[in-house]
Amino acid sequence: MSKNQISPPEKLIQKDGEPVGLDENQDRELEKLYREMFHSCFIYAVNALGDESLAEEAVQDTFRIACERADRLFSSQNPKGWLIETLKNVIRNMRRTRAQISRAIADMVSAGEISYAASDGEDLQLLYSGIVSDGDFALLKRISVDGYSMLEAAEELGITVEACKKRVQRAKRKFKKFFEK
Amino acid sequence: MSNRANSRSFSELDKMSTGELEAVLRMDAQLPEGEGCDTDLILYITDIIAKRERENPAYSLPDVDKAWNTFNEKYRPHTDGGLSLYEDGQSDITELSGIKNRPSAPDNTSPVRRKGRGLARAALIAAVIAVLMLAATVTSYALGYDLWGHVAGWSRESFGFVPDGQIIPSISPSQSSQKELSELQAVLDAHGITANLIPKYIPEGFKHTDIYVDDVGIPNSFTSCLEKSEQTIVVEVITNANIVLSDYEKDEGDPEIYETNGVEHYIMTNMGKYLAVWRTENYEVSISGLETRDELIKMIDSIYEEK
Repeated sequence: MSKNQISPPEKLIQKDGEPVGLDENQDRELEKLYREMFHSCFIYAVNALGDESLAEEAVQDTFRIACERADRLFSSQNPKGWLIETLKNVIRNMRRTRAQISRAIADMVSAGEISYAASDGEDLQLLYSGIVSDGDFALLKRISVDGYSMLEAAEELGITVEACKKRVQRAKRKFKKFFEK
Repeated sequence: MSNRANSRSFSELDKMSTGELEAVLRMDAQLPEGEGCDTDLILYITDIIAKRERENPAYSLPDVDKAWNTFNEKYRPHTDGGLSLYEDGQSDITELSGIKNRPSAPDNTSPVRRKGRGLARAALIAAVIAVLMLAATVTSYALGYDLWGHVAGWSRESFGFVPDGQIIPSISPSQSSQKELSELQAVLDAHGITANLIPKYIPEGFKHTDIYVDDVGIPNSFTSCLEKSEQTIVVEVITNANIVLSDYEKDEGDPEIYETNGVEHYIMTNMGKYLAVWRTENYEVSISGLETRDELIKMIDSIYEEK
């Protein structure tokens, strides 16, 4: 085994046949890797995305995936390289999703479903015709137009990151259905 | 084909400024999946930047302890089968009708330019090569020798002479006057270019058709076309090559270096057709569109024959 390879897991903790987490050894290895790699990953991500909060989210998302794909990470010949490649994929997905939502909003503006309005002393706001709920539309605007990370948007709404992701996915599906009509 | 892979180590990257290193990372992030730099190279660059940041009194990297706590509290509990937060596994939202109905971009590329010029992506790859001092461990790139401080660099898909340690955007020539191709040497003479640059041999059946001259500003370029049936050979001369960031699309594989008359000519294929690129004095010359290597070599050799 090369010096860069982490010991493969003897077994993941199993429950009902499904892996549910890392054992203590793997957890220690993951934390060690996290502390070694966090700044390198952050530096790459901030240059790729141009925003520190999005960059940090990309790194956190990468390690979240690493937890769930621990078998692949720990059996890799180059775990650090595996993390960098995963980070790159996360960044691509992040860019793609934001671009998708932005394009959808732009298309809805073109279709007359969204307009702009300004209140006294306030910035221009997007007004929409109700394809998604008020909260979901505000969330999409935060993610795509205002450049919020999922964590920032979740904290503003007082929900978990998981709930935030699901609401974004749900709203995207509603947009898709609207255009399919 | 010969391989001129350079054996310099990553340590030469230590000489580059943080801004230059960050530019490499930004460009790498733009490349499609599978075409980026070696991950060891990426890590070497980020480690240099991190080390410099830590030595900087205005240290601004996030606190790792705080980030680890945030990870465990906010991100780790969320499980989704190994998918990214920004990935839902559903059909792509780009299927939205507004996007489907967008007209495709018009193709304004002339046949001459399409045969010789790189795309934005290839230019990015060439620019990445320009600022990298690559070691043999980098799988996708290799470096040649220096010419006036320039380095011949290539990836799987592109070849170019790029400034050593600098990134200079390529200058795309515009096409102006049209004359018979046979007057190419006369055009060069008229511009004071007396170096042996133009082949005296042309494959049988090819006729000169067009000549394009861009002599406004610097650099100048002179492009000649020879045609036979549906085949086209393009000969191009660019002046002031030392300020040009060039890129040529190529097929996978390392270019061959053919040396004659003290000049190293890089020979490669692009979509199965042979092309050669070289620099001599302060000119960059290319010949492209040949069916066989033998014909290309004959053209190159004829450049240096007595008039």
